Amino acid sequence: MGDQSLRAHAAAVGLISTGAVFGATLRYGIELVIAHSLVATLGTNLVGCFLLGLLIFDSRSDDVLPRRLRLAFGTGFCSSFTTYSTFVLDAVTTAPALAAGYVVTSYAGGFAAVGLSYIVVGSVGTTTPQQPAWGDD
Amino acid sequence: MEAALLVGIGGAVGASGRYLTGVALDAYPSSITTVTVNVIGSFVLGLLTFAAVGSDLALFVGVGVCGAYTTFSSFSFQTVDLWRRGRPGYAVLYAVGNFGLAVCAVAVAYLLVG
Repeated sequence: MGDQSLRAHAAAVGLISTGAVFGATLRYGIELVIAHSLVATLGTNLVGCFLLGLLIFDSRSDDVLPRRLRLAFGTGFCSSFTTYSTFVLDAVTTAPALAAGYVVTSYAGGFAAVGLSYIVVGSVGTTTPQQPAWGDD
Repeated sequence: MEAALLVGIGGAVGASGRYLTGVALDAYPSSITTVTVNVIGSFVLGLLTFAAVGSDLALFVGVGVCGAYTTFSSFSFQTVDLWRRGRPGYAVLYAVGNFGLAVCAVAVAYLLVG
């Protein structure tokens, strides 16, 4: 790892950490307010999927948002606001019927939220988000 | 307030760890990074949960580090992306695999400390 890439990684970690402080703290705050872990996690996960979708589809469309914002808000905030570990722990420690419904709702909702972000970026932007070639991302 | 600080700093550590995991797995698609962090983070949260650790450690490592190290948004985006880009088989395998492997990791954590 050269000096150049070390500096770039250090800058990325700084941006990501800043976003993550807000993402993780907000997730915790919502857990406290809603008090029902399944509902709180489902809500944060779906909102985070939609917001991350906006950022990434923008980068494939008009690309109005700078890369640094994607690091801070996408990799930092959204990915720390959403969580997979609590999702799985809640699923395996909940009654099977409710757990199955929770997993299906989370997955379907997450995919739908990403789809919705695609529609929003496509209708607000001047071009439909393009698919990068395999290996570009 | 102190709780929020533990979660916030833990979140910064977890998200940075997720980024560095991606740097280490640079040669592979980003979906490999996501499944790796999700499985490791679920395992660690499993350890903390089944060992019934104190509340400060649970807030810092569990809610903060593990919560931010793992990600649901990148997972969902990548699954939809695989599907849209003509790889529905991989998308299904990825969606089921993330959950299946994470549940296995939690089961191992239970066997170790539960």
